[in-house]
Amino acid sequence: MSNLSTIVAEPELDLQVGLAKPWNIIVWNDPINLMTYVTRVFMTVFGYSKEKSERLMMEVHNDGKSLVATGAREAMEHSVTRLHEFGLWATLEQSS
Amino acid sequence: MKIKKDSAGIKLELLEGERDILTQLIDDFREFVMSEDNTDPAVARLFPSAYKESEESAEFRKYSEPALRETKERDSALIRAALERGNAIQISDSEIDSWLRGLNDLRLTLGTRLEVTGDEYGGEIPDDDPRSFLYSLYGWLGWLQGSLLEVEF
Repeated sequence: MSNLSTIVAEPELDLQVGLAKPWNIIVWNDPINLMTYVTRVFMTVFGYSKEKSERLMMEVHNDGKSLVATGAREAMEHSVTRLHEFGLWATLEQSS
Repeated sequence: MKIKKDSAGIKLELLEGERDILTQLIDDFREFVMSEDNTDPAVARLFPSAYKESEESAEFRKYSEPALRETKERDSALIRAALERGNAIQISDSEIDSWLRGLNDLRLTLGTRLEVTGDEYGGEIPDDDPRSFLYSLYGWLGWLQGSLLEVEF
């Protein structure tokens, strides 16, 4: 029986890696960054259209925050660094 | 200040006084960014935490902060060099991000110091307030950055 449980445990580990919960980038509202600037940064960092970038910017402005991107941790960390370079207040959290 | 778009990018014409002020701000900023004083709220705003958990944040910071510092150094140096050349400044397409980021760094620093809360351009404050000059600088930087974005879009 102990052999069988070992065999079962391994594919489970692989599944966990493959199905790891993605990471979200949250951008928080701040009173300094201009609205047009925030829109421009979303277009530059994520390659989003002007329309999508404006919608996300308005979400940040009205709701205090917006989930702007989701993906693998490494890629999201890279994007957060770029957002920080542009002076946006961005954080990372794992999807629940 | 005059801004227009041309075939080579953006042409920015500053008045002598505007150029002097911007030069001063950039020089102050370059000195301050190098200071690495992490108790300063403006430094905290320029180098924000990426995670709620302090352990994860510290780990992330190890890699991101040097990169962030290098970008700030490069952007501010590019603006400084352009100001050095004269009042008529040509900003190419490849330089525009540095200008937008560099001006934003100045706005974040001043805005944090002034504890700006709502109005994008700083709002109205009485002339006899000792900070009124800084407020007017903050407003002017917002106007400059906003104008660059307007002609670029």
